Amino acid sequence: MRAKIKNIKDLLIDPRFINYTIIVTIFLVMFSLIQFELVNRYIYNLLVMVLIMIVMSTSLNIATGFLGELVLGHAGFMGIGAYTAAIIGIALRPYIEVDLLLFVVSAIAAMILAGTAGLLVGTPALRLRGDYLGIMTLGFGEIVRNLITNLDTVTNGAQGLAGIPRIMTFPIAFWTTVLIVTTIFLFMNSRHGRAILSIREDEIASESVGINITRYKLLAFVLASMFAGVGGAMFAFKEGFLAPVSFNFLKSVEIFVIVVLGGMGSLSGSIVSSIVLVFLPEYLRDFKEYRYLLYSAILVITMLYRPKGLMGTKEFDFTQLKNKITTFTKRLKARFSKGSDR
Amino acid sequence: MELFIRQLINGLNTGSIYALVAIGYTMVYGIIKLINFAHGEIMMFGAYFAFLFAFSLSFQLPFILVIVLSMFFAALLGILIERVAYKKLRKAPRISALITAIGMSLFLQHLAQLIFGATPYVMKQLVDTTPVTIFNFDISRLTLLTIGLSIFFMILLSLFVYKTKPGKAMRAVSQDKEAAVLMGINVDNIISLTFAIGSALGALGGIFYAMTYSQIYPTMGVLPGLKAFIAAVFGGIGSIGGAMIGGYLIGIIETMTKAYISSKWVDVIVFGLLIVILLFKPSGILGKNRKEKV
Amino acid sequence: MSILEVKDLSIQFGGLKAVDHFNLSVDHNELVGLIGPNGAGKTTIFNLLTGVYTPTEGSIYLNDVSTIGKRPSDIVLLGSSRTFQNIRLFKNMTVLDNIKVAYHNRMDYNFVSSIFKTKKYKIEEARANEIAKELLEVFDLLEFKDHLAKNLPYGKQRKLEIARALATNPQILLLDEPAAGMNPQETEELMATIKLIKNQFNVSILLIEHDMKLVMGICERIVVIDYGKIIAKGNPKEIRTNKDVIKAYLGE
Ligand SMILES: Nc1ncnc2c1ncn2[C@@H]1O[C@H](COP(=O)(O)OP(=O)(O)OP(=O)(O)O)[C@@H](O)[C@H]1O
Ligand SMILES: [Mg+2]
Repeated sequence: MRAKIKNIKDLLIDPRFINYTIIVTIFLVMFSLIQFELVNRYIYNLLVMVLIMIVMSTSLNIATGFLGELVLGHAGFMGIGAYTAAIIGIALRPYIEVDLLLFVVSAIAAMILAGTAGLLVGTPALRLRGDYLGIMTLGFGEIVRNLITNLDTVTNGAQGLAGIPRIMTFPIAFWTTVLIVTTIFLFMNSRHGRAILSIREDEIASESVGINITRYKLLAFVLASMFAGVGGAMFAFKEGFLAPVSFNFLKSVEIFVIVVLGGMGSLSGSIVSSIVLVFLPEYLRDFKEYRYLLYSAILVITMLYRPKGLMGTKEFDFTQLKNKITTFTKRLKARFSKGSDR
Repeated sequence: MELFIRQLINGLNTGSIYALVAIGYTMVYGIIKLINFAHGEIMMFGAYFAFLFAFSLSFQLPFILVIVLSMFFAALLGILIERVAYKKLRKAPRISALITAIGMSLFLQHLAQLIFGATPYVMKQLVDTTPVTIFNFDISRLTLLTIGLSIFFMILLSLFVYKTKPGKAMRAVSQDKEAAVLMGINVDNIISLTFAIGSALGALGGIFYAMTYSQIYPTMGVLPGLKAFIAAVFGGIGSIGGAMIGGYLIGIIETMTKAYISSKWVDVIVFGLLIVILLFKPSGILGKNRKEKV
Repeated sequence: MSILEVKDLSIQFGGLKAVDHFNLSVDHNELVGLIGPNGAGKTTIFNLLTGVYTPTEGSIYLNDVSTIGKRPSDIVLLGSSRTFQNIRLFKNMTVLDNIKVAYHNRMDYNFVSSIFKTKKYKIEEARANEIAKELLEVFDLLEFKDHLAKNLPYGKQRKLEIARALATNPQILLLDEPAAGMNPQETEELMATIKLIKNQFNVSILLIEHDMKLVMGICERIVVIDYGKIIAKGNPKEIRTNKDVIKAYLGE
């Protein structure tokens, strides 16, 4: 247990405080950059896209990284969330003036619908193992995309749904993302999170110590799909336009790649790799033709030579960084004094 | 009734293609327990190879040679993929191997795009397409050729697997790798052979697919690849006979849906079918159930 | 009072009757050995008792509640817990977390508490930490609490698995070949540990073991099976001299 905070000094070295401060600082820096128009529209859009991909990848990480199940249809849940939020957003725009409120209402609806879909697919699907579950979720994703295309009276089909209020500002996106990532983080550090991890490690052993693996698999799966629904809602309000192709198999793979490269089971890994994989292609524009080739090559090479991804299952922590720096300086000092002895 | 029979023939045509491709999935899965996501791309490369051999040489190769050469190069490609990407991961967690397969699939798609460009090539007909009349039905020669050649190669494969020594070795490896090693079988070679055969048949499927729809493009393997995979699951993954049956069933279901329901719903129905099979009989029609020992 | 009551337990795998009308009754705080040649069906009996397999015939009562048709996780709640012949730890989790997972059902806070880090969450987590550490102390594993389970040496992994099983607070502990792969000294230590568990945690123990010295040394009662059938039962002395047992082990 952590020591009680008595004075300012204790507060300053409290890990929670450090992490919160850093989050707020990041926000303030980004926000002022935007306010003083040091960031152009293009970068602004990319920033929001990064946040969306963080929500998508950290949520997929619950099912794939922590639970260890192969899910190849995450874009399907994103699509359900996106279309739900878009349709509700369009309908309610005349009645709700406040952007934040409109987003919250639509995002909750998106979350509920995507979560329900997760429950419906997950209940039977989670009986299957490994590749079969992957294939089943892949099939589900394709069905969702086809349904969106075919139910054109509601979704406007392949032509796409336009006129969605573009209310996804950086602050809304940022704090939504922080809220979701923090929730996932805290959840994974509870007894429920441990139960989920233990299923990834060994299902049979997990059952043998009293974990109801069906319930926890489903819980992880539904949580993942709920947050994917929110990610979809963010996407809808950012783009202002939705088409079924945005939620195809390739999108699922893209999210999956982010999780794998970041490290399955590492939230900070997913965050870093979301940033890299959204920005990198933009800077590789000159190599446009090679871009995806490079992408896929990186994926294969990672699997062959660093199968645990960038971060493995570890979390990056600012407080750890501080510790690392102190040990490093200590070592440096030690070496230095040794040197001067001679 | 006439419409029905016509659709049945179309179904057999599509089904032959799915069956050929499904065999590759099932053989590879049987031997290294990997869903080779890149198999759809082999199919696509097979079609490009055929295009090159048929139209870019200064002389006209006979059709059968075009096919055999394309199959041969696809087989080499298959072996190469296995050696480069999968071999190292044989003992790795399944999920790593699967991710690699997905990566390989994307890589090959974009490689094709880089080499051939994203715009589709128009596959001019390689064979005489004038219809023949059988029992008052006009059937395209291409359809007959597709069905006929597919069945021919499937028989050839069955003879190979059940009657020859390497075929028997192949079955031994898929049943128990360690025992096969003890019996002096070179597992690496057998795995390469499996990839070669699967890829060659996949390429054949790709060529027929391209001729049926007269187009070749880098992502053409994705959807038929997935459907052929569904066919393999349907028939019982790991079972060659199952893949053939599954292929024909999926082909027929697909054409019947197009004819009697709507082409809009084809994919929903086929993928829905996949989910239903996985739920009620994940081992498929001819597959066996296996449970983990504790 | 008997904790475990097994009657006519049988299971068939295809043509093979792996367990054939097996009967057993284990009393409170009793240490019973289950032995038999390789492939006799010992592990299969454990799998039946813990709900991994469903018997084709017979009944199992744990504290007078039938376990037939119950899932393994629910059978744990009825008071039994096990280890595995091939160690099954949560390899990439810390030693402490391995124990805490097993402590799952004895903690009482919900999903919402964990996200808001409520007082209840903190109290329960702290209590779990304390108890887990006490348990690790008993097994001399406390100093390794932050190590990943996979990095422990083999003997310590075996111990951790037993500690984990105990963390579910069982009334009967099923140990599947705990001494497998241990050297004589480690086995000696293990014998002491098993005795200690029995006394300190007040549990019954059903022990599968090939190491005869260990079995004869600590079991009060021994059941011998071969080809899924009981061929002898009695105290160590009786078993040692039993003709059928000698025949089963040495072959005809
Ligand atoms: N799931 C299963 N399917 C088919 N046969 C099985 C299964 N589990 C066990 N068996 C068979 O049941 C028999 C008993 O196996 P079991 O593992 O219980 O033996 P054991 O007494 O624990 O042997 P050992 O001392 O080698 O651990 C063996 O012949 C085994 O092959
Ligand atoms: Mg055993």
